[in-house]
Amino acid sequence: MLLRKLHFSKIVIHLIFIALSLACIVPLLLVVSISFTGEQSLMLNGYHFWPQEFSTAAYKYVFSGASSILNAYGVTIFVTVVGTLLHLLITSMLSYSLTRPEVTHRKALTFFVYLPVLFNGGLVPQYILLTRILHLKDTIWVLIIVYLVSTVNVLIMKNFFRTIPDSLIESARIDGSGEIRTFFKIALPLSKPSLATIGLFVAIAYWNDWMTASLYIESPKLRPLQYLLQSLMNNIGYLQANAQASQSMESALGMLPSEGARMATCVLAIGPIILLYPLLQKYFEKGLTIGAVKE
Amino acid sequence: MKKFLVLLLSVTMLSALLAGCGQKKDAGSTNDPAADPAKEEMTELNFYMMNSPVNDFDRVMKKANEIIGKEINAKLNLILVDSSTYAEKMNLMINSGDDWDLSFTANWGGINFFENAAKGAYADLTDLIPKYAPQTYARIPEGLWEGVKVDGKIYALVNYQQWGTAKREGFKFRSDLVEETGFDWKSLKGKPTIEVLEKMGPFLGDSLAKHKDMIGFETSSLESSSLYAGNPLLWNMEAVGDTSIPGWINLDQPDKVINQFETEEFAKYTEIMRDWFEKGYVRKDGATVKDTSPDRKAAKFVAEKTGSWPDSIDHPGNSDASNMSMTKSAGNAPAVTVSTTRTMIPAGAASTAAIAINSESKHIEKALQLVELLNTNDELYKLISLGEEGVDYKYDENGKFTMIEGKYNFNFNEWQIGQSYSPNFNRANYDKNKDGEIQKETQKIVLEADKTAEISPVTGFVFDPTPVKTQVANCASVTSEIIPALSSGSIDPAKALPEFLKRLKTAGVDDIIKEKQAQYDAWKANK
Repeated sequence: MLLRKLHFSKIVIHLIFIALSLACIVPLLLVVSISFTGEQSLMLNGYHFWPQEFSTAAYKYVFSGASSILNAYGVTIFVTVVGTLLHLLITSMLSYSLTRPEVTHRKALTFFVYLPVLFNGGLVPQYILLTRILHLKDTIWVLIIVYLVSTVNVLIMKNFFRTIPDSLIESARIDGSGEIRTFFKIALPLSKPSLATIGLFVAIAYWNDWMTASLYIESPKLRPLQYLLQSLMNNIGYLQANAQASQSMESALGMLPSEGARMATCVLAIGPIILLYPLLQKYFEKGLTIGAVKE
Repeated sequence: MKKFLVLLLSVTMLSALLAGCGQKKDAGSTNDPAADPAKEEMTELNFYMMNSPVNDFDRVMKKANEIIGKEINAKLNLILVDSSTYAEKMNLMINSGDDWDLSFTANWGGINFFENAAKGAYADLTDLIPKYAPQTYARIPEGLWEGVKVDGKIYALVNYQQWGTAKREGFKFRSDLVEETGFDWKSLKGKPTIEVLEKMGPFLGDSLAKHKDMIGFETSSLESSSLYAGNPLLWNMEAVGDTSIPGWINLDQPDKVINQFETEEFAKYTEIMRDWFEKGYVRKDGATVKDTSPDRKAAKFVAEKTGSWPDSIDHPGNSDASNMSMTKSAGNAPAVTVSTTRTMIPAGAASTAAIAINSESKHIEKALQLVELLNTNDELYKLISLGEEGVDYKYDENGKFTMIEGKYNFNFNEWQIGQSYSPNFNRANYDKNKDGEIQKETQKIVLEADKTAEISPVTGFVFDPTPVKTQVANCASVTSEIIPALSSGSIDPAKALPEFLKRLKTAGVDDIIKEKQAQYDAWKANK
């Protein structure tokens, strides 16, 4: 009786997870399929999981220079790579110092890192700081610097560094290793799982960020990929919502890229980042439990 | 150690970069406005507007700046902001005192023209316009300047468009189906909307019976696209203040502010929509569909609401009236148009599209000169709005205007940077053939109507929502939830409508109506 019950619950659980995975995968497949369907066939037959009329016109359009997607790719890749590396470096150095007992005012410093979670200045002060004081408006660095430190990641890293035995650090010191060497040669290599986990989160955050660009980037050359995608999608909604304001808006709406081109941009935007997952998978499982168990 | 050096290096590089940027910004803004005009340094003007990314933008702007530099010794730096974030970004720039000279402004979409003007963000142009932008001022109907005034001062330059400001609403029907079913569409002229919808129902049914893959009538999940909530004129009403805030007037009794959802018309409208929904005349998922443009381009609609007039009865041959929307270039959906309402210049007409100048700008006069130049120099205006002839667009052998694919296109957003109107109609992409001539003829009728059309009784009134802020927010959350569902027929009005009205009452709709009435009365007494 007990066995059967267990069996039954297992089936249910499996079914739930199969349904969940399908809910994630099916729309994605549909997007890919739409991006390969001819525009005419899309209008007449609607969406199908297998293109009724195979066509790469949408990708040709996207790459033809009719949209600035290649340039946007470059910006996004630069921001993601540089941003992630800098973020990891700064976060790990910060959280490592916060775990070392030799550092004075550790408590105060930790609180300083934690404070913005409770209170933050809001958008206008941030805007004033970045544009009027730091003069970062319309530079590629604004896309990177805004996300260099995240409290949550510092706390996760901190918890991880705590698991490195003090005796290990001490013996390194006795053997004549300086603080910086100890950090790079001993502490960092030991924390690869956490670096990989945080690295993945951060890379995705950088890759997906469009809000910063929409506020601070003005030259078309510096627009990241997600921002382009976001404009494509949002412009449609916005123009429709305010269509009665101007007759010309109707023409403006007609000018927007076709369904297929939008989906092709979508596919291109998720493409590279999706490859990160399998690469980091082996660290990922270990990384997930970081900070979950406290001694 | 190595990595540490790398970090050090990147930090130094970074600070060098930052320093560089800082200097550049400063250099741009330290021009002495009092300098001798002959030796005057070239002024750089930042103009913010909404637009999607534009190809080859640098090439065209370079050409444009040659003209601007020659004429007024200035450089236009046109900054295109994504339309979905434009309002937020501009308000942020205004609140943080950021540097800008000109910007597109309007009374819709959260751009808050009146609010920003009232708090002093925009420069007072009353005395400067006649001096620096005389043509811009003189070309358009005098009354429109009333619409961009706050406390008697002009705060923006109206972008008067070639299609005029007077509005007359109506409906479009697929002409092939009209013929097939023998629908007497001409009899709808000037009829109240309820009657039009009642007569339209059987036509939709007949058409759909023969063409099963089509959709009878367009519905949308956007509150502002609701045939009722977004189109007061169709119901012989006019919004007092923002259209989406409850409180309209009936044009036959223009003194009394009413709750537009408590009217007989609204009840009847929701019943008709429910009936259509059940009969399958509208999309079943209408309450959640945001983007209806694929359906439009695919020529799926049998009938739709339209603002385009003169209609097919008054002025046959007008290509805007003889194609369903978004099908003009494909030509796959021939249409007939009938107008059903009165012709009126709505209250918000002037502030629908305008240009404001930053009150903190160091170059207010220059900025005005730039607007004047954009409005009077047809070559410059066409360059920015269409690109270069032969490179970005061409006229084909029939004289039809065609854009060259993949080249510069301004996404038809030229209405934000100036007046597309000019007395001789040479600022737009009219075809160089008979169609183009007909279009110009039509435009003349439209512009003639601007002089004779009745002016909304609410023109010039600005509603200040601050005393009832909470109620407005509460009502907005109720209407944005229920209106799309009622307008697309997906819920039964017999139950949902009383419920909706009750929720509006709880949200404080009566306070809003009372406040609107009070402000409206006070404004009228002062007039």
